[in-house]
Amino acid sequence: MSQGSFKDELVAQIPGLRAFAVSLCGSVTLADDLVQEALLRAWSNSDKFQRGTSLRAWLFTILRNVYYSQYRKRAREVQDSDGVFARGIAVSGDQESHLDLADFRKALAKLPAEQREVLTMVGASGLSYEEAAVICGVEIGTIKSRVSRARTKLGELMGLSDRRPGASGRMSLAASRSGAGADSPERVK
Amino acid sequence: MTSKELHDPNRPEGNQAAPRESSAAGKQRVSAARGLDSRSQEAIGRALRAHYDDLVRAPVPDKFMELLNRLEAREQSAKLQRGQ
Repeated sequence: MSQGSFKDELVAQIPGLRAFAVSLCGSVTLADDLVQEALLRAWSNSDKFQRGTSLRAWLFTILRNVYYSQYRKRAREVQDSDGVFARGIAVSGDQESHLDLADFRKALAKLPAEQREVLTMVGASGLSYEEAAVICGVEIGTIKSRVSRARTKLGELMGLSDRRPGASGRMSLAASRSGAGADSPERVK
Repeated sequence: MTSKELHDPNRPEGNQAAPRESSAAGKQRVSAARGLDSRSQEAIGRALRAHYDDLVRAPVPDKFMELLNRLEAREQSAKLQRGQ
């Protein structure tokens, strides 16, 4: 592949790579450092990218390695003071969601990074469980388990768990809950 | 990227944790996360995608394009020096 077209393909991946980086480290400032480092490494290792495989998955792998090897400690230090993760970096909110996005982000930020990253990969960025497993270097079952625990934890943080009838939390679920009380037995096994 | 790099030694769980996790996950469908009804799961899914889409739509700083342009220019001048 010529470096010219490789550059174009990298450029196309930047928004998604950046979104993943923010989800991973919880700070836009750190995320941009991560993306920069990942792009540098991708460029200098472009001969190792196998054509026909997912460039996005390859870039996520690189960025993730940079994060866990160099940035994780820094991320813990700046996350609270930065606070951008909780605010989000874009102004628009999605009105379709029944959950308040700001509250959702606060809950998401409380998850361990390894739960947040798999939830982001398979729940939002469109990667398959198989791709997520390769990126994280673990079995698919581990990915599924982490996704499940991440969802359960998010539910607890936002008071959504049916295991806790009467636990209202602060989330507004009125729209989706109407007609089905919090103690509704349906679907609870 | 070597295969060694794919298996990050810094990831938090030890090797002993993975087999236990995967066998447990095999018995449990992800779509039926413990303690969450389907509406709650859908709400979380929607919020997650809305959050991510917000991040993806955010304006990309110019510095990334500048970085790639510099890398490309450096490579082209190196090729010229080699007479290619």
